[in-house]
Parts: sequence; structure tokens; C-alpha cells
Amino acid sequence: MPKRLKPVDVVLVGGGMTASILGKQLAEAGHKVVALERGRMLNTVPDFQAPAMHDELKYIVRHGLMEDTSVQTVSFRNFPHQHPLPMRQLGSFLPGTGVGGAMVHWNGQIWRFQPSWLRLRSAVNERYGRNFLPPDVTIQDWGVTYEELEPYYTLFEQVCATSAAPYEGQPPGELLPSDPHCGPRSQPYPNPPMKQAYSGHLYGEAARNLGYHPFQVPSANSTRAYTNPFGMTYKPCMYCGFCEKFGCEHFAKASPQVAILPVALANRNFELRTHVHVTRIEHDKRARIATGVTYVEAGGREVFQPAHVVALCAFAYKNPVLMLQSGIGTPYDPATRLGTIGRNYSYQTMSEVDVFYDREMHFNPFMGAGALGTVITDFNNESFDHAGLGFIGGGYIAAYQTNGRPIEYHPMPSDTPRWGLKWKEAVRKYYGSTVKLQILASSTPHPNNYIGLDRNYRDAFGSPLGMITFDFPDNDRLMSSYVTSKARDIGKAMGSSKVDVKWLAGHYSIVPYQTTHNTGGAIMGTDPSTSAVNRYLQSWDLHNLWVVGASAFPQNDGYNPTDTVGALTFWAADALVKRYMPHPGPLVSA
Amino acid sequence: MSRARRIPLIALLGAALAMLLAIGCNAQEQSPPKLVAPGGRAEIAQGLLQQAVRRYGHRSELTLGMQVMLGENCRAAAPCYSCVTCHGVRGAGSAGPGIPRLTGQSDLYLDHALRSFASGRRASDVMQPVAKQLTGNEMRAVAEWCAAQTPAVALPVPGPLPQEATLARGGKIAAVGSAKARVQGCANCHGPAGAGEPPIFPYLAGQYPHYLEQQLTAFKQGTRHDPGHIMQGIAAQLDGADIDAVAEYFGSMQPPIHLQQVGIGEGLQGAGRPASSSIVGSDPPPDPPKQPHKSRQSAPVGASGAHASRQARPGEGRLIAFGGQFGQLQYSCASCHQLDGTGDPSGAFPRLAQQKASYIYQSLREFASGARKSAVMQPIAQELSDEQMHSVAAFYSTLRPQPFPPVLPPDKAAISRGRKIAAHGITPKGPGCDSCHGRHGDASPYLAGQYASYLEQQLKLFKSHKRRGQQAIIMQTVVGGMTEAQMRDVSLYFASRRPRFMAIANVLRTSHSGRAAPSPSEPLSHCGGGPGRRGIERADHALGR
Repeated sequence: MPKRLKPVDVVLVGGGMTASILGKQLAEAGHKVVALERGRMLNTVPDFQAPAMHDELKYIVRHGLMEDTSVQTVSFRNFPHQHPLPMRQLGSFLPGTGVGGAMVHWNGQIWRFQPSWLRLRSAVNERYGRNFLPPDVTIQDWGVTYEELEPYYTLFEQVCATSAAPYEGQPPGELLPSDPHCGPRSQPYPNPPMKQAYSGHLYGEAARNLGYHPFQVPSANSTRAYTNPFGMTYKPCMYCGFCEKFGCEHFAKASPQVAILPVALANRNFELRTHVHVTRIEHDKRARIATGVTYVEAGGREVFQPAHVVALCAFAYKNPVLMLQSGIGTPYDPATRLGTIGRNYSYQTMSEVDVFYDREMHFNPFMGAGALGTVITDFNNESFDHAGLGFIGGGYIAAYQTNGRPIEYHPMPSDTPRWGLKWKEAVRKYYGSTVKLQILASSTPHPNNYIGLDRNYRDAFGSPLGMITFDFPDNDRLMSSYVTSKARDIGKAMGSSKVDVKWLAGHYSIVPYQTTHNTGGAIMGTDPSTSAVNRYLQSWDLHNLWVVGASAFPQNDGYNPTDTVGALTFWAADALVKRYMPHPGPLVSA
Repeated sequence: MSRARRIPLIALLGAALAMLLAIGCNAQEQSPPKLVAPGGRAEIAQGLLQQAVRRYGHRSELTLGMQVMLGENCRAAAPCYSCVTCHGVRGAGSAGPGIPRLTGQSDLYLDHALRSFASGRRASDVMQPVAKQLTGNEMRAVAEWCAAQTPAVALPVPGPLPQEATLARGGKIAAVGSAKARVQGCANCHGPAGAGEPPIFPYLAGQYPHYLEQQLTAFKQGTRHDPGHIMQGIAAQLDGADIDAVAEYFGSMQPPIHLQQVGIGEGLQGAGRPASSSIVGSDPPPDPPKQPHKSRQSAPVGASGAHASRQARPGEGRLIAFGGQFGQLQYSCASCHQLDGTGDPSGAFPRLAQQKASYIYQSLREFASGARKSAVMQPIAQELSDEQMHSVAAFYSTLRPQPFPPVLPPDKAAISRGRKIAAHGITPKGPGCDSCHGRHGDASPYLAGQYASYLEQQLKLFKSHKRRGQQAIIMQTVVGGMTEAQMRDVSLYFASRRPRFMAIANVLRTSHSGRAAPSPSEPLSHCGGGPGRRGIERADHALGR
């Protein structure tokens, strides 16, 4: 019999970015909030300090800040007819563990989605006609518009000390290229863009010569001393090249513990419990409300925490898995294409063009940052006409200089031997003379791609593993081939001797790292039969259950998702604080 | 990398300058320049140059850097400042007034600092005129000179030992930062244990606490800027106690680069070494102090403690010698006379250590009133209250015995002539200097061991009636009949002497390595009473012998 605690107003499942935002906003509105984090407490001081933090073995090879797959993991298959197997080592994506979640070890690439993406089904129908896409491209409208989200995008970008052009206090004479293809902005970015790397400069020149519009990637690394709207101070980025998979030692990269969490923790209404694993959302089927959550403490004791509101703030695919494990809503079934929980699992379509120079270029890759890059968005969905192309979506092409870390970073042409003298020569030759063009492209849903529960494997707490069924849909393969060929053309225009194209080929593999941009599974929408939550991220099934995060994306755009997750969370927090908490009940009638 | 940056800079220089330099370089490589630096500096510098050449090969920058360091690059029109006066031949700096250690520091960093001083981006009344007189080549050269030097052993800094808690607090901020202040650890950029991340980030380990404190305060107040505005942001969020703790912590360490004993005792002798009342911590004073020795006593009571005036507070005197609390005084005695009162071998600044308090006080009064003329000393003395003069006098008079630079090479004939003048004056049987200044020149004011050029200068001033004030009339009479050669001889004689009260101090010319308190197993007498075998071994170890 689980120990029963005193009820609280809101229980948050997770201790990352979305939980920090909801926790802060709700606690400030006077509600008693408890956040439940499975990992340990992590703080900039002392946990993220170098040189201890710059440990590639610990944080890259051994995934020091990521999910422990011996405790919780997912099983995986490409197609519904296959037998899924558990992911026993992290690879393709890296869910975070510990306070701050995956936003501790992100790259800080902070992008808005294009306005049409949030109403993609309608936009495609209007522009290209109803029959433009085959029926298995199950794109949907989000139920929220760009105009509605814009103030929350702006707030989140300020909270994250975003550095990009145009920026606050930019002198009128200073002409900095900015994104020509993004939605309208109500305010400039808070900080000036990052410095341009030489690699980015070469890429930008080549892209401009081909008629494209290069600019510096918006970065959640502050480029100057900055105080965010919550009074949290940032320091400038040092371009140390240890962003992704590491915590930032400089108070420069936005993370919950730098930007938001200290404010929540200073509030007596907010409590953060670490080392607790939530196993179930308890709910009353007849009253159609959640009653609280059951979790396992570090000591192994099972605890029931009653709450008036439950908000799922776990990693994207973990939210629908928890709902499935708790028996909430109708599980999605790929055979019938009915059901909502687990629907529209999407990812990100990655490809790469490597530009190798035979002469010494001194790119100095060790002077990098996660979001240090020069980019074009001319091939994102809304930026170009898809008529006659037969696909929807697109992506950006960026020359990132994220790191030159010695264990991880040794670019070389694909025909280099894997070991021996030639390999060593290639390491020496290309370490400082390679530009990597990354194509980060959209991911559209397919009826076969979904999140379910595994029938065979269970986690350390006896719950069935979540199961991911995913392969790149044809639409995305067409799209990727198109955008990658454009990147190849730019690469060839950069004056190098060798251009290697890593096309999207074969089936999706869970082994090599691609991105941690898993989306969908508890998607938002306007129709309860095709979405799990309404436009405010409130469950259609239990009105006091809120499901927050990238799990709500009906499809993933050709941009990194964090900005949109942050904006949606502030949007949901506003609805919770202003509308739901005073008058509990469905905010949208089904 | 620094070389890569250097090439375009050189390309930008005027053709005439480049040609001049090229000619100069060729000449320098043929034969090392003749140096005129006094007090053994020239010899020290030449030795250091040879060493640097052994390590880095023949580089014209090193020779030019050495000349700049010694102030021998003077172009006729401009008044010349020399780095050596404050930073020492090698660039070891000095603890008291916070003159930074430059040895082994990144040349790119030092060059940038000089450029910043010259352009006024970095404010300093002292460094701006110095940097402005240098050409770009000279800045680079002197930066390379300092970078090529092995750091002198960090010697104990005078004053009370920092509290364990202070060091712990500083060490924590240095390693991991402060969660409360939202400040990252220094190690992130300045390397583990403050070892530096050349060429951009200077090392901090072994840097003088007073300097670090000044700089952090300057960053905090916005009077110093760094290109990325990193340090302003950090310092702004540290409070005074944090700054103090960090400064003390790094000051308590040894400089990062592996020590190599250079064989030339710049770190042990006159110019520019870290000033310390206990540089010769293993040197016993004639009367061992009763209290156990601590390397950083706030008010060292040495053999001549009786000189201290009743109004005087040597502790306050030490603070004034530092330049006051947080440098509130415009000038600090220690910038020229060193905190250990050893003055400067050039003779421009006399030794003050263990000089009689009443004489120092009297001199300050005379400088303030103008009775004794000095453009340098007058504004300094005028800044001090009567009580402060007493305190400064008491501080310098009660210092521990300090070591003396060797006279190189001793002019035995001149010294012998000088000895006769000291005993009998210029007449065969008349009264000599000894009759007032004591048999060994160690009565007030003591002359033994004073710098020859200083003594000679003073005699000339007396003769021309330019030095007035107390007893001047006697001195004017005494020197009236002396020739310049005689003045030089007697000056050299006294410079070659050692006052009796310091005789033992000169036995040992090694130093303690660290500032750690003696271990419990070690008899205190080894520290306070006599050198002891163990003390010597430890000193040798520290010097890498």
C-alpha cells in the first residue's frame, strides 16, 4: 500500500524546462506545486564547472547527464510487423536525467517555427490543394496560431537570453543579416548575435553567391552580460565548445537552473523532489479526473501524491508512455489508425554535407559553441514553392562549429580507412580544415510511426517499456534529398577539394546519434478523435491533466524544437493560471 | 598562434621603422649590446638573456626586450621610464604595492596589456606614460622578454597569514565558483589551479594578492575592461570578501611553470623581487624574537624594534607603504623602496630597511617642507600626516634584516681608498665619517650597505648645498674639500660594507619556498632562531637546485 501524502494543488512530473516554467508561474500565482525529478539535483556551481565538466568520456561516451537505460528505456522497431527490442544503450537521441533535463545538455539552437507550420494541414490544402499529398502524410493543424504564440516566443527567447539579429539596442547603422523567412516578431532579440566563425564565413559567402540569405543562428548562449525578465543573470559565452552533452559552466547557455528554476525554488509554494520515479498517473475513470501520481522514492518506497492538477513535464515520448502505462485515453492503433495516445510520433530528418579542404584552413573547431553557426532558411517549408515537388516540409542548412573535442571530433572523408596510418593522417589533415554543413529538416507523421507499450519488456519498476515504431516516411525522404542536394551545391561552391554528402539513406537506425528532437505522441489539435490534448495542452480525457512539451507537436518543423516547447509551455501556463485554476473544467468543449 | 598574429601587425608598421629595426636586429645578433644598468642589473640581464637564448634560440626580440626592460631603449627626446624599476629585470614584480608578476606570462597577453595602457583602454597613471613611450615592436619585445623568463619562486608575502577559512573560500571560488554570487569558477578559463590558458588567459597562481585584489576591484568598478566583458560581469557579482579570498588563494600558490633555477639571484637580490619581510625567513636576526616566527607578521618586531616611535604604529606604516587601504594613497613607498625596504640597486631609491626611525621621519618632514628637495618625494611626503610619517618610519625601521646585492665587480683599490677616508677624512689624521656614522657605518643614518650611487649623489648634493635640513651644515663642511673621485671611493667603500646588525643576515642568501607555517615536527628554532640544515635543504629544493 503506497504511502499517501497530503494533497497539493499541482504535481509536475519532471524537473526540466517545462516543469520549471509551470512551477514558477503556478507558485507565483499562489498554488502549492510539487515537481518530481527522477535524477539528481544539478547546479551550474559546482556540477557544471570545468575542467571536470569537460570530460568527454564521462559525458559523451558514458552519457553522464542522460537517461540510465538499465533503469528506464524504450524498445524500438522500424515497422509495426517487427518484433521490438529494448534500446540498451543510448544512441539516436539522448533524454536527460537530473534537474534541468535535456535542456542542460542542449546546443542552444533556438528557433521559432514558421507560422504556416502551426496550421500545416490548412495551409497545404489552401496553397497546393487537397490532393497534393498522399493520405498517409497525416499532418494536422495545431489548434494554436503563430500570432497567439508570438508573445510567448518572445518571452521565452528573453528568458533564454537569445542572441541573434536584430537585437535590443542594435545601432541603426549596424546592418546584420537576419532570418528573412521567419514569422513577424514583436520585439528584437535581447542580445547581439554570436561572432561568426571562419567556417561560417566561407559558407555564408558561398550561399550568398548562389542567391541565398545567410545569417547567424539564433543562440541561447548569451553574448553579453544580461539579466532576463525573471531577474536571472547571464554571463557571456566563452566559445569553449562544450555545449551539447555538457552543462554550461559560464552561466551563458540557457538552462532551467540558469534561467528559471532559482526563481521557482525561492518561492515557498514550490517544492522540488529529486530521485523519484513516477510510475502511474492515478485517475478516477467515472469522474474523468486525475487524482494524483504514484511514484517510487530513492529508497524504494512507493508513494501516492494526491493533487488537484497533474501536469506531465517529462521527456517528449515519456509523456504518452506514462499515459499509456496509466490507462488514460485511447491508445493509438496503427492497424485501424484510431486512438489518440501515441499518435503522430515524429522526429527530425538529418543529413550532412562535409566540405574537406586539402590545404590548411585553421578553422580552429575548438573555438565553438552549440549554436555558433551560419545558416540559410531558404529551404524551410514556407520559404519555397513545393508545387510539382510532391512533398511538404523542408529544413535549414547550417555550417555549425559546435566543437573540436578530441575524442568526438575527427572529421574525415568517407573513403578513409577506419584505423591505421591513413586514418591518423586524415585526423591530422582534416581536424582544422573541414566544414560540416548540417541539414536539419522537418519530420512529418506517418500512420506507422507511433508510441505504444511493449508487450515483452519491463523497466526496473515493473512497468511495460514504451515502444517506438519509426522509419522515415517517403515524404521526408523526398524532402531530404531535395534540400541535401541544395546543401551539396553550396558545399561545392565553397572552393574545397572534396565534398562528402551523407544522404538520408536506408531505414532509421537507433544507434548513431542524430538529434534529441523526438516529438508527438500526445499531440495537440482541434479534434479529440485525432489529438490527445486541446490547444492549451489540456487532456481531452481528464480535464485536470495537462501534457506539456514536444509530445504535443502534431509534426516537427525543420527547426530545433526548444523555442516552440518553451513558448507552448508559457502559453499553457497562462491558461492554467488565468483560466483553469480559478474555474477548473475543460477549456475547450469537445 | 601568437606568431601568426604577429605577422600582419608587423606588416602594418611603417617602412622606416621596420628598416631601423632590421638594422638594429642584425647588429644585436652580432654582438650583445653594451648595457649601462647599475647595481649588477646588467650582469643579471645578460645572464638571463643567455638563458633565454639557450631555450628559445637567438631572437632579436629578446635582446630588444631586455633593453626595454632596463630602460636602455631611450630615444633622446623623450624621458625614459624603465620597467625594471618596479617589475625587476626579469619581471618578477613585487607583492606590496601590487606590481604584477610578469615572468612566464603569455606574451600575447602582456603585449595586449601594454597596448591597452598606451591607448588608455586600461587606465593606469603609472603604466600609461610608460606604455606610450614604447613602439609596437618594443611592446612585443618586452612582452616576449618577460614571457621567456622562468618565474621566480613565489616568496611569502608580508603581513598576517591569510586565514584558513579565507583560503578555503578563495579556493572554492577558484575551482567551482560561487552558487550564491552566480559566478563560475576561475579555473574554467584561467586553467586548473590558476595555471593559465595561454595565450589568452593569464595565469593567476603565484600572482600577488594585492595586485589581484586591485584588478578585481577595478573590474568591479568598471575601470578595467576585458574584450569580452567577462571579468566585469564576474567581479560585479563578487563581494569584497570574495575578492579578497580569491586573491589570497592564488597568492598562496606557486607560479605554474616548472621552476628552473637560473643561477642568477635576481629573486634573491635587490631589484624587483617579491618584497617581503621574510624573504630571508631562514636568516636569523641577531636577537631572535621571542615570539615564534610567522612568515607574515603584521608588525614585525626585529632587533631594532626599540627605534619605533611611541606615536608610531608599524602596522599602519606597512599599510601606507602598500599605498593605503585599497590604494587610497596616490603613491606607495613600496613601489620604489620595496616593501622590504631594500630600495633599488640603481641608487635612485635608498635602502630603508632598519634605517633609524627618527632619520626616516626627519627626512619625510624635510621632504614635505621642501627643506630637502625632491620632485619625487615631496608630493609623497606631503600626502602623509605627522603620525603617518612616524608609522612609516617605524615600519621600515623595524623590518627584518634584508639581504644585500653583491657589488660586481668590487673595485678593491677604490674601496681601500674609501676606507681611509671613512676613518680619517681627507686629511691624514682628521676625523672621518666613522666619528658620526659609527666604526662600520652602521650608526644613524647607517651608510654600510647603502647603494654607492645613492651615497655619491647625496654627497654631491651636500657639496653643492642642494641638500639642506638637519645636520646638513656638518655634511656641507665635511664634503667641502672632497673631490668627485673621493666621493666615489668613500661611497663604494660604504656600499661594500654591511652594518653589524645585519652581519648574520648576509650569511644565507637563500629563501623559504612557501609560506606554509612550520610543520609541528619542526623545531621552531629552525624558523625563528637559525637556518638549520633542514631550512637550507628546503630552500634549495624550492629553488630547484
